[in-house]
Amino acid sequence: MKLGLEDDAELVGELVQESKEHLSNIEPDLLLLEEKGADVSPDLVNRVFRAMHSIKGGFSFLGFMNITNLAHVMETVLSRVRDGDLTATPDVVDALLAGSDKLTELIDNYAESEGISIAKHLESLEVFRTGSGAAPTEKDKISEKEETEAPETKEPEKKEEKPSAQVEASEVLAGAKEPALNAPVSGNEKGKSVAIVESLRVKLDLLNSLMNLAGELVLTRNQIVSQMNQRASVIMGGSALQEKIGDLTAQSSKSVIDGANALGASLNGEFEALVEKEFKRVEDRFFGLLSSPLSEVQSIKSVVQQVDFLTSDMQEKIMATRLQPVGAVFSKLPRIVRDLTRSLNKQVKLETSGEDVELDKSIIEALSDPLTHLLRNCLDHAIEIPDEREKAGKLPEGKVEVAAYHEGDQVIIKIADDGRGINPDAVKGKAVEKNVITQEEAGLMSDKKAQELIFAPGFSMAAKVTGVSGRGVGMDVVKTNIEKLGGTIQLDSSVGRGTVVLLKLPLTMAIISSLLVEVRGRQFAVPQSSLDDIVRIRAEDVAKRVEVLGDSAVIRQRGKLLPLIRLSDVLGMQNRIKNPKSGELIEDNRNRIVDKRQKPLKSIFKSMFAEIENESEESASEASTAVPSDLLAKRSGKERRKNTRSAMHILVLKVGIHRFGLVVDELLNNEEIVVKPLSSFLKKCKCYGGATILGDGKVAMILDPTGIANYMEMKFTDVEQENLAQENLDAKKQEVESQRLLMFKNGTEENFVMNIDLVSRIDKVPATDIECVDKKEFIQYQGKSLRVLRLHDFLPVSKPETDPEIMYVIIPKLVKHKLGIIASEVLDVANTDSKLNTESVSGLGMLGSSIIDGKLSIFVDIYSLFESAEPEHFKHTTSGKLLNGKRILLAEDTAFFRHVTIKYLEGAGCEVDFAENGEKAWNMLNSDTKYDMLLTDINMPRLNGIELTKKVRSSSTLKNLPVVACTSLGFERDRELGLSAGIDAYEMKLDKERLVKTILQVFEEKGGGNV
Amino acid sequence: MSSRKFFTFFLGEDMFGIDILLVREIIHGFSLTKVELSPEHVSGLLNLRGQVVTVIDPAIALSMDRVKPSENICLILKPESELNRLAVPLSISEGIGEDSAGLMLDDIGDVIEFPEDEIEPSPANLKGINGKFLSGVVRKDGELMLIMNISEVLNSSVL
Repeated sequence: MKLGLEDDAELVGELVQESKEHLSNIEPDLLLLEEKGADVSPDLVNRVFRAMHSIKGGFSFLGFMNITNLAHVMETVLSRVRDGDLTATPDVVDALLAGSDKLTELIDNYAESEGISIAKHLESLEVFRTGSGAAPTEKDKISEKEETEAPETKEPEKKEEKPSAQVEASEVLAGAKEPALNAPVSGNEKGKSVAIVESLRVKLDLLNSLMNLAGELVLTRNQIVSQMNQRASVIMGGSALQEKIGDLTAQSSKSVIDGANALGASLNGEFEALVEKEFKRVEDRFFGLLSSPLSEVQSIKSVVQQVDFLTSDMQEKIMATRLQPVGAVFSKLPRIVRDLTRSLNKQVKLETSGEDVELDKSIIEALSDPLTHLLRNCLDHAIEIPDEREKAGKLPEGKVEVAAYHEGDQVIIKIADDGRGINPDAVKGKAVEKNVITQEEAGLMSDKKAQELIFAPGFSMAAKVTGVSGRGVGMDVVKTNIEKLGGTIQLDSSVGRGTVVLLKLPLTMAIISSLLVEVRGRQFAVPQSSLDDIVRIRAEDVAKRVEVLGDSAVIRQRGKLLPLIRLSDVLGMQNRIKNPKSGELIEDNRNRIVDKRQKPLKSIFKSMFAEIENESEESASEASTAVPSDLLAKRSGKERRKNTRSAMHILVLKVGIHRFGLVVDELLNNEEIVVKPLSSFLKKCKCYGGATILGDGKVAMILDPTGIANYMEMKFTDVEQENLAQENLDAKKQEVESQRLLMFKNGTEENFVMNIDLVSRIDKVPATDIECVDKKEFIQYQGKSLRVLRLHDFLPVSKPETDPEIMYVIIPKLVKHKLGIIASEVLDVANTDSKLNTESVSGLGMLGSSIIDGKLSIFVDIYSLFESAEPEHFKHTTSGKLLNGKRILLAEDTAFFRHVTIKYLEGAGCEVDFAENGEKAWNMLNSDTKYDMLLTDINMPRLNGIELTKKVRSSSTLKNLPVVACTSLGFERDRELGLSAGIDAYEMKLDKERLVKTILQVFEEKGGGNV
Repeated sequence: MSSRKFFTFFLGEDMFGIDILLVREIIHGFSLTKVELSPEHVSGLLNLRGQVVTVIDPAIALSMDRVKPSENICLILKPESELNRLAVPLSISEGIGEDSAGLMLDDIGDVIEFPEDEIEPSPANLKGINGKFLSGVVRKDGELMLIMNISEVLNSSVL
């Protein structure tokens, strides 16, 4: 019997809903079935079987024969699996999964299901249905009788090892009756028994309208509270009045009595009593009038508080009704992994956790696509094929972890894999090829930034387009979708080790916390989620801090340029400036940013300065005190307007990886607001994310930073390029590693410098304290006598004519035998990255010269200086070329240290090559394997010494190369890190004697390479 | 012959009418939040008991010669779902859309009932108003009532 669809739309609707839940549970069960293969538990098969049976039963009852037949065949195959006649091989499960997909399709379009062909699926299932095993208990068509009985049968009997036909029937029937209520996510494969909480289906419409009502209730509550507070303050004012009146009446009555007494003492007490009584009466009536509203307000206030509390609570609960566990999305993942790994010939283990973490239904729904895409990407690009993995020393089976957890008021979804990671160079290459960035930009870009390029629009990483991913609508869509949900996406990838993607999502979308700002007397809400920072620039600093770069006004913030735009310009609001004479506000039409005919921005900030200049007189005093933003809100309108002119408020907003500053007049307060979507009439206004109703009942627009940036066609490029150039400059500076130099004089014109790291201390000494013994000079230092040197005695420099009364003694460190250097004057410590010129000055005790601060300065080489002063202490290392014939590669980024070290090593008989950074050193080591040792700096650009050593140690050809590290800092932490990375020894830079000794030692321990 | 009831109102001197079934309520003395960058004929947003209503100035949609609405009067329309629930014929409700919308009026007139056959088709251009914004005209005592095609007026502002 086929029921008329119209009559039973509701019945069909329920059946469809229920069947889809069954199907979503069947899928993970089938996957588990495949995993278990022959040792499958009957419980599991029965579960699938029952679900299939209830689908079949329901639809056959309503006369949908295609659905019924397909479900029937699948059920039969399952029954053979259960009976042990058939093993759930991947092929069987393939057919069943395909069947279940088809069933989903049929059920989704049940009205047309009779017209959809299922022949292919029937055929592929038929193979397994009519195996050689025992014929299934049920034959082809099921009688309607059996089905109609279904809903009236008894409770389920679950523990059946080997079901007979009869028992099966009861199970089957129970299955049909099994409530679909226990939830969308019961598909947890482990067969966990979930405690059943009573639940009820509620129409989504109803929930949505409840949500809306709750939102409105919140707004109304806000209005009540704000009005209440206004009233209360008026009435509280009244109570102060009351006290005053009390005082006044008491005074008046007293003065009347006093006056009367003064008139004559004849008055008896009656008059006084009368006067007091009369005044008292007046006072009481007055109080009565006043106090009744006061007490009323008090009682209303407590009611309002109660309403306030209940509203919040109710809103929270209603919001919770929309929460769904993320498991609903996670449960789709195993299937994707299974299908993909099969088609890609990869082995991947998927681990999911946090299925019970809940998110708003709308977020859950919108999460499905991005998550699927991320997972596909993982499997397609990140996880290597088993061979490749084994070569890289990993397990052949890759691992992908998908986890959900709470962090603050956000939910984090983590997708982590142990694949090959994102190769920044490959990404750069691709991005250049696709014109996402220029070659030049690529050169400047950091690895982290390069990896984030995968989120750039128009970027697709797959070497060739596959059916799995790489269609070019990839990660940028994922990113946009996540951002649409009010979330953010984070990427952390290390080459060879894997990638972690973090999706940070809000719990719910309908209510957001926002900052209210004011522009031209109008209020706007800015979502906190996109607010990165707030900057307030005082009036007198505006001209100093706001710079103009190309077409943008910018400020520097944390070393980076931040482009600025005024909200009033974005919105095309008239900029009014105050006429300095009349005090009247006049329209300022000189520069509207949206007026594209004019040159934008450039002139805007000029007017901003102009405004401030106009106001500077009156606001100077006010502006000099920083006013916290929360206090600003409490100012009166007049003051506020004045303040608008005095300081600049900048909201620093994030748009993807870009940041920009939005200039507003005022910062008001933070408020939780209900987001009301914009009507279709306003959909074209991309600067708004919605509207909301404020506590005063007015509608305010919610700003959308992405929209604003796009609307303004904000040219981040100028600023970005400048920032890149800055980064590049920083990097270059780092590359030459500016050194800090101590500058001093020896009583002559020349400046002398030495590395400050080599200075232990500097003492003042009266010239008279320098004693001369046997042509050598000494001072008393820490209770001992210390030999001091005069530079002109050892270096080819001129001798000063006189000594000043006070001299300086520079005492170096890191030397075995202490000596001091006499200086007439210590000038300064300078940072410099100047190049060392070794040719203009040469001689023992000098490293070279350089122009520092416009003056020729001589670098003092304390080691050779000391050596020539006291040759006896340095005998053993200089007496011969101890390192004769060795080839050493020196990785050192600082020209100065490089030069000095090479000089030392060559002095000891080595052949030395150098590299300016770790990367270059690595390439050199690989192209020429004849080095006996790597001597490396720790802090270097591109590849630091630790990482370089790790690379060396993990290389098959270089792993036994001796590695010595030099450091000027001598930090213990570095040392430990270095030793664990495989560095053989550490030595201080610039200490020739010890360096050579250490190198020798390492050669002895490790065997000397190619000696 | 069936008759229809029209709610009449004025834009400047001109009398317009819309089917009374479309009218939810008339409100006065509200505060309107202007929306910068919005299409010109969107006057702003107002708060109707917690609901945000987009207010359209039909005079601008109709390119009428009028500077500003003289009075703060707003006619709130029923959204399509409500019209459907009330089983308003599709010929009247079609194209109204789901958004809560309102119309700025200069003045309100009476509710007038007409037999349907008294409604004449609108000319292509009437008093400078494009005929597509009108679904008909009715003459009454020498006066002309223009029946506003609400869905055209609303949708014109989407463009």
